[in-house]
Amino acid sequence: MKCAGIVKNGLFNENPTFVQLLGMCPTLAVTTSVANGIGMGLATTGVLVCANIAVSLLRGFIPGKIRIASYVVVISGFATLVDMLLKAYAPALSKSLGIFIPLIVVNCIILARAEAFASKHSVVKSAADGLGMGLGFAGALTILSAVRELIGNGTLLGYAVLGEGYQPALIAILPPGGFIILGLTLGVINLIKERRKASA
Amino acid sequence: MCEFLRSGGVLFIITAAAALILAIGNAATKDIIASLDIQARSAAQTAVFDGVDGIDPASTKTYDILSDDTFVNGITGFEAADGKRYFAVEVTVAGYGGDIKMMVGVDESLTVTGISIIDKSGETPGLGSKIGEARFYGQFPGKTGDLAAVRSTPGGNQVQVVTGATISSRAVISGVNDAVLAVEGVLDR
Repeated sequence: MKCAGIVKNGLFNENPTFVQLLGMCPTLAVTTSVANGIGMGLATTGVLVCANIAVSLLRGFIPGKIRIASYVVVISGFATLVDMLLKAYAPALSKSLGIFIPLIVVNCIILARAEAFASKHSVVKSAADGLGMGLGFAGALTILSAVRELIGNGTLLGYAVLGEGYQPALIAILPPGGFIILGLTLGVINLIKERRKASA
Repeated sequence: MCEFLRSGGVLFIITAAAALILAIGNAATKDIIASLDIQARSAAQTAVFDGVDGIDPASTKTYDILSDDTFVNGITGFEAADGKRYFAVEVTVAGYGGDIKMMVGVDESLTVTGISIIDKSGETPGLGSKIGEARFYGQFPGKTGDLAAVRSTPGGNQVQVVTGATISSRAVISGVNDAVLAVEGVLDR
């Protein structure tokens, strides 16, 4: 498979959030506002690309028995680095994402890609896979957070979109609303897919 | 035995390399992070005295905290041009998911001049984090201690909580109450 195909695969066909249903905890937790969703998505993409490259480079060097332990060290190293960089250069974002940046370490998308893809493919392909999966995750978070912020707060990226008269349905931002909207979004995506299959 | 040593060695090399990279990253960012903290603190001190004229930033005096039973962890006194004293009180209260750090400005008649939330990273984004919006913290200036939390339109000694974030709001309110008590203690000395 070519690199462009690998990226597209992560974005659509095997989207980590909407198709593989991985990384649900940060997905539900940070998608309360679009700024948080995009920030979390890009931070995760950064860690995912770097971890995939490192794991791919080290794939001949790491003995099979300790591979998971090694991946965790690599991933937590990059997550901590991203945490420090955000604190220094994007303090507002770092404060609003809070605990979820260090928790990128245990995001199962990253460990899953290290084990399922980067440990078996070349560096360039692994980087492309990290980029595709990361952007697929970021895109999913952006879609979910846009719906939740719009319904729950009447704003998009902090700008009032629905006007003064709109009474925000707070449940969309609360945890139960997160589950409901995730479920409905998955339903819509599956519907679109089936329509496409039927027409093809 | 040989495989055991090899695995341990490889893991050691990876861990050591990760530690080295993190040490470099830490050295590169720690000064920036520390200076941002100092900036945030002095910006918060300026923000809580927003409506007050003629505060002399050089006239600072730090006071000891005498009570153990308080959320206050620092009191800095300032003097204004007209001789009145103002106090910037640093408070740490337990919020919903971690500590909330804030600065409370109190004048010598125990009236709150303003509050500024420094760290609310433990609060739920979009809910508890709204304690950092002016709609909530703008309620405090002009009020004095012993504030009560209400859900409806607030009266003279009341503060309306953020919808869906009662715990975070109550934490801030109890912090402000403690700040006023602490300043009262300083003025009694």
